[in-house]
Amino acid sequence: MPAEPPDPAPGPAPGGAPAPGEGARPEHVTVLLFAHLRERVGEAELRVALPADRSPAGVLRALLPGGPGVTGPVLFAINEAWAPADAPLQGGDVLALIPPLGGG
Amino acid sequence: MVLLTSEPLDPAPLRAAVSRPGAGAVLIFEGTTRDTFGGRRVLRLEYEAYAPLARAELRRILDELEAEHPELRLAVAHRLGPVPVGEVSVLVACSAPHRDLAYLGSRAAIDRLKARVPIFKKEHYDDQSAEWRANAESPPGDL
Repeated sequence: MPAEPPDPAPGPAPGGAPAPGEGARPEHVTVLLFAHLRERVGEAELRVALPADRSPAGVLRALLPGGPGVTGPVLFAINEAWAPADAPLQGGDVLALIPPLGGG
Repeated sequence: MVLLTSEPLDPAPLRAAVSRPGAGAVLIFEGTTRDTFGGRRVLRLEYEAYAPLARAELRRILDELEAEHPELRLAVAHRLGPVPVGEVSVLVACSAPHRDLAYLGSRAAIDRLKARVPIFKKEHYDDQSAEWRANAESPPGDL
């Protein structure tokens, strides 16, 4: 696994407690992209803030505002296990966005 | 035995992995890269995988088939990266006491691989264009 890229989001210093009155430090997931999804987004791996609904579908919508219609169907895996589009993500999870399969 | 590699595939270790005294049939299936798709000339294919999940899913497929048919032994290897036309992209080795079960096991393994394993294929054509190509067996997806 490559080293985690630096957190691009503004926020409290690493390890610091949230300042009074601020919300909790935003939680992030690592997103892995393959094949045409990787080419469209331009990265094989990204660190993104958890969307409000904390779902793989929400992450996909944030990364590809055009919607999955332009990309073809997408499958999901969380921490190397298949997961449904509405599975609850936790901060620190590794989410893979998996395009149509072409092995064989 | 499950193998993902960017090197050319060699059937010998797979044959060795499934060989045993009780086998009366050993089948090696080689999937090779074809030079045309839909009338277009293909120069090479390029495979990419979500390797940890691809290995786990291949292992599950072999374990399932060996549980469904305890006399089967299976091994699979898939090549990643560029694969020139005519070279082998996937190998399935299968042994069984009799040929009927060996044919069934070999066919089931490649069918399940195409439907379940996160490996992706890009076809490069002679007009410099390229497309990611999905298997007919690929699931419809959650979105």
